[in-house]
Amino acid sequence: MNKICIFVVCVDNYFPKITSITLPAIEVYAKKINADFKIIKERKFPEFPPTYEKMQLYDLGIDNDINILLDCDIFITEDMYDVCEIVHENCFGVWMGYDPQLTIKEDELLLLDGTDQIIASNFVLTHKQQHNLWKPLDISSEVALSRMKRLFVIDEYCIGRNIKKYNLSYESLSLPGAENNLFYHGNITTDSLSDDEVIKNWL
Amino acid sequence: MLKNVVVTLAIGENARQLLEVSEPLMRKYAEKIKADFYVIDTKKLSTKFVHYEKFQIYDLFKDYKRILYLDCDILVREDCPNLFELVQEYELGIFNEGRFCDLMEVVRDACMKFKISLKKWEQQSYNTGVMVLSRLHKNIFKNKPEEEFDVYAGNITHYEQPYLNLKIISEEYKVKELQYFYNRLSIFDALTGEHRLSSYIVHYAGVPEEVRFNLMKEDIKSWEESKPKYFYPKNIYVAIGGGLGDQIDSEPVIRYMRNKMYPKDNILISTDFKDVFRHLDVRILPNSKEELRKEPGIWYKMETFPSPESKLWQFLAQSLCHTTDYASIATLRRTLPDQEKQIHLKIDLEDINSLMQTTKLTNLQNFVLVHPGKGWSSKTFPKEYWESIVNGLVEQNLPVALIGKYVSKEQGLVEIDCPEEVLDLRNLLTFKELCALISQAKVLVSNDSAPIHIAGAFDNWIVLLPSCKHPDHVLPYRNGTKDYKTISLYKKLTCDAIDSSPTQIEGQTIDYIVGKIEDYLAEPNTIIEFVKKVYNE
Repeated sequence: MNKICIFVVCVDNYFPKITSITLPAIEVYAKKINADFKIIKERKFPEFPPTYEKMQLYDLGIDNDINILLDCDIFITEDMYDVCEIVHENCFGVWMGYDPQLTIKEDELLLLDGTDQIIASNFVLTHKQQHNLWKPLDISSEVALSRMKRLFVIDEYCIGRNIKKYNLSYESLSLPGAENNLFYHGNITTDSLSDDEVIKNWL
Repeated sequence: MLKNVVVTLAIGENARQLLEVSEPLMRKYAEKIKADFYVIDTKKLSTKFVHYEKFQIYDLFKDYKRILYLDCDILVREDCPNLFELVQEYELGIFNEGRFCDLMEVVRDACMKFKISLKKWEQQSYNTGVMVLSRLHKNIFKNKPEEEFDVYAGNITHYEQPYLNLKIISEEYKVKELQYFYNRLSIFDALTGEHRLSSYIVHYAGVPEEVRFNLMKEDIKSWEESKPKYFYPKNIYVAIGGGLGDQIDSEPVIRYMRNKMYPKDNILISTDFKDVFRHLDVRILPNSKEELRKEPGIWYKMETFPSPESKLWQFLAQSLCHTTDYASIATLRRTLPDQEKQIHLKIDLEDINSLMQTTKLTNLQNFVLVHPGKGWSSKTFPKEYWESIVNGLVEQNLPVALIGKYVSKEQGLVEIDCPEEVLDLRNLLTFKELCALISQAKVLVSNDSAPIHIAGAFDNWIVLLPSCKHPDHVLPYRNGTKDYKTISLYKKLTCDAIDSSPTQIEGQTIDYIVGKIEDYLAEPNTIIEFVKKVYNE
């Protein structure tokens, strides 16, 4: 039986009104798919924005067969299907991808001419074969941050570099009809919403 | 925790009447799979078309986790497996009718009317009479304004189905195709030879209204009588084609069908040579389409020798293939294991007695049988050739008997002179007597014709004189091999000269000799020497 763990980064007392709803729901989902559930609360990379703490998965999840990362402002309903059954072993699963030009100024690995895509790190599943996706940056924080148009997606920059470096393939873990039906993303930081607005949207 | 539900739609007098029959079975099934049962019986969405009330499913997802939707003209057998277990929650369980019938026009029409284009269409056309749904699929049933459904006002076939299909396909829902026996439509009668009641879920769509109600009631009664096994034998009909040799070669295929593939089903064959198949538990029709029409039920039809218009002819030439393989590919879509390819023919005491009476001999063992067959010009050898073989065998003091039968001007026997020492059995024996004789003989010498195939059922030496088909495509399988007590003596074959490459547009034939027949035939002395050798072993 696969060893699965769902990770959520929730540091610096992030939007407690939201997480009081989302974290228990994620825990229920973890139980449904026979996964462990771990909340990353401690900062290990204080030189980066809090989102970069997602890279703790590299060490924390090294012994797992499957690691799932969820943003803590994602609400998962009890009807959500088991994403492990959707994503093939030879790729990792993502919810969405985008053009790195939106968030990155320059990089020696990623093409910023529309050729390459990087992924959103809000809902990601990796198998053992793709564990290098979580490998922290091999460049200094100063250099990395200087390359960003939007600092808070530094984690996605790191993941994007790893996709190129390790030649990793991905596929969607979201089936038609799932978004806003079986799971909801508050997207607080990106959309600059308040927690009340997010909860209102969900309801 | 939210439950699952079995839902049906019954609005209007006709539908309510059908529901009277189908509801008890649906309720029972719902209970068995621990689901609620719900009937959509009120119009809420459309003033015109009752079928669009199916979209009330959208609201039902407020209260239910998963929905099994069944049309009201559906019967569910009580041993039907739990479809919620067969279909994963993230899959939409539905039957793809498009695999079996061409509904391209319906789909294309729907694309135009609803202005939905399909990026990728693989001939799917899902029958929405049975659907296994979860909340993931809720938006498929998001209510549309009635005016959008009015585009179908002039065309009431298929109703809401094309629209649902477009939603499923264009939005790329993950589909688990249900097997046909979970939404058994009438098209499967001829496609399977199976009675509809051998399916778990029977859908009476397309059955005339005046007949449907009573038919459903009778079918429920039949299920009651046939449970718990619910055995309804398939009806399989095989038209066995070709000449006698081809039909003998088809015997292993029919036997395999009877013993392995359809042991308890009804098998009906038509053949010109019923004695070839008399030992098999199959019914035999004289070779006539009229006779099949008189048979009750619907039959799944196969042919061992399909016509040149068939798809098989496009990629497999019968003359360049073993006939048993050809017949099994044509009917069973496979070749048989080699051990199964051995021909079985029945010989009983009566046949041997009859043979003895005809020949006036009691000891018919140890003969060398010679069959100077006549057929295509490529396998009809000169009179002198055969005579030199026969005379040569006589000179070696071997007991020789001539066999064969006149069939027509083009087919049968080469008329040769028969020496006194030779037992002349030409045109004397029935098929059964011939089989009995070959079963006893020590050696058979023949061109490519029926006696070679008959010998496949027995243990004698076969000396084949091929001239057109390759011996590997003629010699019968015995003990799992064509090499058992066989030899082929020849110089060349007409099949070697033809171009059978796929890029060859015009068909070629092996029926005719190019050049002189003598260039193809083994020397008579070679044949005689070999027969003498094996005879004395």
